[in-house]
Amino acid sequence: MYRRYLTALQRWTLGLDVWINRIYPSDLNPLYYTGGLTNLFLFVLVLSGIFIFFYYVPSLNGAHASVAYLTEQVPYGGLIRGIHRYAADAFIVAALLHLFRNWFTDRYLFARDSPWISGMFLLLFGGFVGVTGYILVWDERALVVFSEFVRLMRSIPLVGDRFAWVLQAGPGISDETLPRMLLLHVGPASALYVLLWWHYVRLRHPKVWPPATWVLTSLGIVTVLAAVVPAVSGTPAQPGLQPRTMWLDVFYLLPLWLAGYLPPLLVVAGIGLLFIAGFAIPYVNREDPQAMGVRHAGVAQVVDGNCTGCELCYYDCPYNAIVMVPSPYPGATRAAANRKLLAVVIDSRCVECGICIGACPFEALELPAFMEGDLQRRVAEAVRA
Amino acid sequence: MTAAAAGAPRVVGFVCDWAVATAELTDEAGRLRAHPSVVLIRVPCSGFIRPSWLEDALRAGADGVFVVGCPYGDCLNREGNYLMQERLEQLQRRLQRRKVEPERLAMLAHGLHDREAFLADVADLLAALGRLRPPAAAPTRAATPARASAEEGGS
Amino acid sequence: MPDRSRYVPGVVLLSAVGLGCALLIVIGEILGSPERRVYWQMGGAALGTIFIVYGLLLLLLRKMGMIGPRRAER
Repeated sequence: MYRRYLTALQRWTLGLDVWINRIYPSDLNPLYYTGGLTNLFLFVLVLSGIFIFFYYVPSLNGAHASVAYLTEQVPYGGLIRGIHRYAADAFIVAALLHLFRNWFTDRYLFARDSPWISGMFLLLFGGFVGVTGYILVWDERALVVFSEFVRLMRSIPLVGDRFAWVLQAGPGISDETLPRMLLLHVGPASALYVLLWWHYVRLRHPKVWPPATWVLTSLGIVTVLAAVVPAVSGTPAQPGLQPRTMWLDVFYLLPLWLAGYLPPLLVVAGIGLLFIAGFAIPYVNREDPQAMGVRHAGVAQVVDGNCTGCELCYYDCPYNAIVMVPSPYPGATRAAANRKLLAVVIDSRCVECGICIGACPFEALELPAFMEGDLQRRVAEAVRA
Repeated sequence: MTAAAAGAPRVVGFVCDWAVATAELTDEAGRLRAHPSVVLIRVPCSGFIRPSWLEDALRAGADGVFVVGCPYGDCLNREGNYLMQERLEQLQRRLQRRKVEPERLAMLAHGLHDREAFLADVADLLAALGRLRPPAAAPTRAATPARASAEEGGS
Repeated sequence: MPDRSRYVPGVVLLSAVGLGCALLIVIGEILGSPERRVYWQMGGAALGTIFIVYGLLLLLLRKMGMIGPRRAER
């Protein structure tokens, strides 16, 4: 059932490409750079965030006023604040596109579960940073968001009250609360870069930046939005004031809105289940190895006797699965006899793509289920017929 | 089989398993229904192909050989199609010294749904190969041993 | 050789829009205004438009075959 839906989703996702590739040359298709776009927006968030950081005052009385000062009095301050807000929305949209595309096109198999798991953590941390960002403004929406967030934390059995204490820096809202919120905003945002190291570590030449035309277009859209729909604060937060209906950011604040209608523990459990399901995706195999056919041809094997240590496979492997070691013994063929290095395949990193086989000029690599002899026999049959 | 193939250039195509879906286009032997002289072999990634296999296919008697990968930018293994394109161009330059026309080798990039574009490219390739064959009425089979032995002698 | 003339009107139009926005920003800064925030917003809209226009210009130039790896083009 899961397999059938996933195959349908894969076909539909690749069907989108047909339309987009009619307008854009395929190497400029934005859907091929969803990770790069997310990174671009993160970079914009960091830069605009540093600018805002210079003006923000994390105190109960000073927060709202400092944000208002930034928006109204600082040249282009309101624009930078708007860019910060819309880049945050764009970040989540791009991250979700990245998640769905990589899920539906099987880009999490074998050793690619490492980027997948780190990606789920990135999404979790990113969402958290977004929520704390809305709290920092300390207007009436921020107060509602904060109260709901604390209520959600408290609903967790056993540890809930402790989490709420950490969030509030105490039993309730105090002078320590906003500095704590600022820490919980900037700290996890910095941690995102550590998680990104994990996200890239198994990839060679990761596509961390979109092509120029999309860098400009995305930045332009965010800037125009920030100018045309300015980011404004509501009235300053006053505990006890009845909140009116207000606009809620659907990307970050949806669980908090739900907490107004559903029991908080249910919302927390729902989010938890979603993330656990997300973590499980690489391990819930949608195809058995037989059905995968040529895609499951076995981990690449080095034919020791032929390897000359030329390093071509090492340079071409997209997953850093081949390392060169000092050769412990000379090779068997004449070309391999004087080698200094030997290629070794790290099995846990190999995704069985076979690119190293194509790179090797000395027939020193094979895929067990698709060996050179088999292939040449099939070619001979094809030509003979 | 030879009746259908007589006169039509024999072509071997290596198709990446993630690229264009060819299951409906071929029979069980991998022969394209639209162009019966073309046989397809599915491989795990377009980057898997060793250039020497393409050379061997030509030497074994194929008139042309092509590799189909994913659209540039969307290789499942991220760089396979770019790497294969570079290797193929190097091979074309190398084989030109042995008087093998570069039109006999081709790198194509087609996504899962690009069946019509793929078939159109194969048709173009067959037309180009048809123009390359010696204008004499001798069928391909007679020409092949001469060319193969010339290559053996050359290498 | 891709048919270049099809895209020329688009390139001209986009360049004109971009130039217009740039002039708007420059003139706006020179004139100044007491009600600064609205003008900063207009400046921001013009800046964003310049970015978008530039991004589309790169796309059109790519389709004309004037930039980019030509062999990768379909």
